[in-house]
Amino acid sequence: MIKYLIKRLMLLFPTLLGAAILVFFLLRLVPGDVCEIRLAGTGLYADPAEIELCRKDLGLDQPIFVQFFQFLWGYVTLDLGKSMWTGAPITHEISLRFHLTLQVALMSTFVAIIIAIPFGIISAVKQNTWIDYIVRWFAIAGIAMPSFWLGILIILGLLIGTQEFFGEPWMPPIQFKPIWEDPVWNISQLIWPAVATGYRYSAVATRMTRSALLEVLREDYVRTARAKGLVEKVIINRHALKNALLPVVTIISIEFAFLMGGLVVTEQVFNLNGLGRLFVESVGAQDFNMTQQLVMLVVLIFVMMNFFVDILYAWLDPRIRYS
Amino acid sequence: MATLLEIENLQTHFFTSAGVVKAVDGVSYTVDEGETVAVVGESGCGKSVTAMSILRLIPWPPGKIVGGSIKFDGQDLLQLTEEEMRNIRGRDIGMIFQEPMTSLNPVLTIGLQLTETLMAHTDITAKKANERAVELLGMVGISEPERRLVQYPHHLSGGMRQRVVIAMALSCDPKLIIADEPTTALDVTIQAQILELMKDLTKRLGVAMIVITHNLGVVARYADRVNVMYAGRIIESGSAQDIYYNPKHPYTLALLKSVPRMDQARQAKLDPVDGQPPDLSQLDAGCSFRARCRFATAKCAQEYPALEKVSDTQYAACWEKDNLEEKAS
Repeated sequence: MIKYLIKRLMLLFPTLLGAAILVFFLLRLVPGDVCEIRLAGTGLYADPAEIELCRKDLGLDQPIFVQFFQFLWGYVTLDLGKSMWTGAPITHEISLRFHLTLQVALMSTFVAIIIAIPFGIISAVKQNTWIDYIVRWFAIAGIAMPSFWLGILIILGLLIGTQEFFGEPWMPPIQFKPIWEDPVWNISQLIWPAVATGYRYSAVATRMTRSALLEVLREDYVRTARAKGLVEKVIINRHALKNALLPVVTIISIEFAFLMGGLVVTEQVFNLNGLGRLFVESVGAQDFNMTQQLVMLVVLIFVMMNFFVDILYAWLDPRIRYS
Repeated sequence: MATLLEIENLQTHFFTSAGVVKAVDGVSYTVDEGETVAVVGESGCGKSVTAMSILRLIPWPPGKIVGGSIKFDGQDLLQLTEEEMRNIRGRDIGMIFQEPMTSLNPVLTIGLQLTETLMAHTDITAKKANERAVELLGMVGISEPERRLVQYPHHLSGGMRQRVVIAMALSCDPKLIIADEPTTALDVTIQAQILELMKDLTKRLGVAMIVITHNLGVVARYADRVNVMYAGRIIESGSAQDIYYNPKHPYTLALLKSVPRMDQARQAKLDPVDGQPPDLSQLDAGCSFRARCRFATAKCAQEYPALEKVSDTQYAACWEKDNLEEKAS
């Protein structure tokens, strides 16, 4: 087991290298660069000499392989470099936003789990009853509804709803404050994007829980458990659920890693300055350094999530011991 | 001996889109205390459905017990509430299933699966339950029982798992054990061990047992009484000797002929039962075996023969039961 996990961890390095090669060269296939955008961004004339100077300044005039190895060396020595757009250190730019994105991702995972697991169970146990139909309808609606649109609905709903009930509209805070500074403020701002993304996320997980559980409930060992005279709750929670959780864990982990890098539009709707927005801005500005490091970060998160899921698998299913 | 289980005219039907499948259609038999009763028949004849009906574990939809009564220890199981029934399952009636590879939960330890039955039905402490589990594993002949408690089913072979299943069924000192094809999925060498074990334990503990099987060898050796089922009904019943040496139903006769025997010449051909079992959703008023029967007469198409007494211990449901011997020879 330990050996397997170490092997899995080692796999991190070729994965990161592959990602580095891909993102580095693909970015440079796009015509133009950050200097042109910076100096002639509005389409007006820019002095070629100045652009040359800017390029030299950012090291873009060097041969591409030299640039690549500088990037790699910087990554290995944990010197992520500076943003080509703002000039601020990338570590600083990311750490400003990382905890916000992480918090929203964690909260929406939490929302997803507390919706998906109980609803998935109810819907499987009461298969083809009205409860099941409602849960399935609710889940399909969640898959069909884009989270940013739901986000807009939530904001409108909050404004109109509070107006109706309290006489004056209440708006969730717009300025971000970290949770350690003002927890109430922080939660009342971030809960809404967490619900908006968590709902869609839960929809996928609910359907997975339902179908996995339905399959397990047909297994012989569930019949054995019934023949032992156990109460239904024990049969579901102890005998069936643990067997049904593997695919659910997979879905949840993939979605979580996805949220860490892909919350672009929802962040926009809720005016959150997270990694998603930073991603879009750096791509738009052709800020190679920033984009590269963000991609590397997301790759790292994905690999770590997979690693974590492997451990979880082994815990859930003793037959998986990775020898 | 007092009667422990009395099944009266049990009817379990499955309501499918293709029609009503009468999997069990008027089955009656009794089991005395401490007695081993075999239920024999080919696949799909309703023998397992009968067993699952006793425990009321027929999944609805599509299955439902539509008629009859099952008296166990003085109470009608079909009249009990679900909760009362749950107290009987595992405590008074233990169940052994056919497929030991899948009937144990792969993600729970042997210890947990053994003790949970005890914990569910008695006020035993966890420590005492563990001790009892060790004792049970020793009883079914599993070595190093303490170590097994923390192991998972995939650590054990098929025969060992079936021993664990037997230990589970015995854990609460049940009055009756239902074994549904307990040895079918095992190697031949292991089959004999398991059967010996079951016979030994039931005799020693005085537990009654229903063995469901299609293996007539099992029947001859281990059962006190035998019920032969065909198409949802019992067509013959009697002592193991009656059934083996003096069958009174053509189906029993055919079954016996289809089994390879050591006392016959090696070249002798086996004689399989011709044709297929009938579609249980398309049965008519006549005898359901007549299409495959060598002795069928016009009467067989009109009316289903009742299970009638042939001797003190033997019953058969056949219009020709008294003429079988001369016709067969």
